[in-house]
Amino acid sequence: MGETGSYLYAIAAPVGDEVLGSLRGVAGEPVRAVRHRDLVAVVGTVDVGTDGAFGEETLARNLNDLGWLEAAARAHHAVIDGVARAVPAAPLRLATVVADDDGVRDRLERWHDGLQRALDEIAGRAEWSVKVYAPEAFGPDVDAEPVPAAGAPGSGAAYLLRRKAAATARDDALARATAVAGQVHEELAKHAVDARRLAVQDQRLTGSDTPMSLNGAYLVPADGADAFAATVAGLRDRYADCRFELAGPWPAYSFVTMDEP
Amino acid sequence: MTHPVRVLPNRVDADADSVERDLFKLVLTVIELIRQLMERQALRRVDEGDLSDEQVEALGQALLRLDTAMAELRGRYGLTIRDLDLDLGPLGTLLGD
Repeated sequence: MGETGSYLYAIAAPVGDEVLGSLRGVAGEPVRAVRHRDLVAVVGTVDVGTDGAFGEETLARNLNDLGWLEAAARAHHAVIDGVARAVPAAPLRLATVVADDDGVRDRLERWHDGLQRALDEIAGRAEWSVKVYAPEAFGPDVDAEPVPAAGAPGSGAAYLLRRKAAATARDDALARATAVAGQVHEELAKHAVDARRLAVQDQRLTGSDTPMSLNGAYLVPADGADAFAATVAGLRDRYADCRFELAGPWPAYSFVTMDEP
Repeated sequence: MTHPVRVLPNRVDADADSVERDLFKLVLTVIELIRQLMERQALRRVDEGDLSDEQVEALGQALLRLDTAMAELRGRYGLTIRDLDLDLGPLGTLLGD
C-alpha cells in the first residue's frame, strides 16, 4: 500500500473494541477507534496513493462506477450500523477521508460541542423511513386497451376523449398522492421526535410503477418503534390506494450528518 | 461529492445490431416527444372549443394513426414507451409522465 489516509465512518460515544473487532470497512480493512476527549471516531486505513482506490483521481472514477459505489455504500453502512447498534453514532458521508489520525482528532476537537449535542439527541433513537407511492391512475390505459382501427367513423374523436381521460386520471392520481403524502407526514411527525421530508427518488431508482410522493425520515425512540409501526399500518389502511414502504431501524443518517466545514 | 453518477457506459458497444437498435430508439424518442407535444396541443384546442366536430375527428384520426404506427415501430425492436424516455438529470425526464 502506498500513501494511506484515515477513512471516517462515524463519530460515536465511547465504544468497546469488541464491537469494532467484528467490523470490516469499505476496503475490507479492520476498523479502529480514534479517541479524543469523550468522543470516538470510527476509522479505517485506506490507500490514497495514485494506485489506491481512494487516491483522488481513482476515487473520482470509482464514484462514477455504480457497481463500486454500491459495494462501498453497503460496506460503509454496515460499519455505521454495527456501531450505531451499540452506542449513539453520527454517520459521516461516504468517502470522507482525512490525511491521518491527527486530522481525525482535529475534527473531533472542532466539532466537539455540535457532535455532543447531536449524539445526545439520537441516543436511544433510530431512524425509520416511510415512503409513499402514488396510486395507479384509474381510467383507460391507452397502451393496454385495444385501439379501434383508424378510419372507423368517430374513432378519431373517441381517441382524443380517451387520451384526455387518461391524462385526467394521471393528474388526479398525482394530486391525490401529493395530498396523502402531506397528511401522512404530518401524522407520522406527531409520533416521532424529529421528522424530515427528503427529496423523492426517481422512478427508475425505485423501480416502482408509480412516482414516489413521500420520502420521509423519522427519528423514533427505541421503545416507540412498535407504536410507530402501528401508526404506519393504520395510515396504510386509511390510504389503501397508495403503496407504503416502511424500513428501519437505521442509524440516524438524516438527522446528524457531519459535513466538512 | 459533486461528481455526477454516469448512467451511460464508458464504451459504446459497436456491435452492428445494438448500434442499429440504439439509433432506432433515439429516433423513436424524438418522434414520441413530438407526438406527445402535438397531442397536448390538440387536447388544449379541443378544450377551448373552437374546433368543429369534423376538425376534432380529423385531428383525432391523425393522432390515432401516429400512435398506432409508433406502437408498431416500437414492437419491431421490443421497446416499451418507458424505454424511449431520456433522463435529463435535474430537468427530470424528457417525456415526463
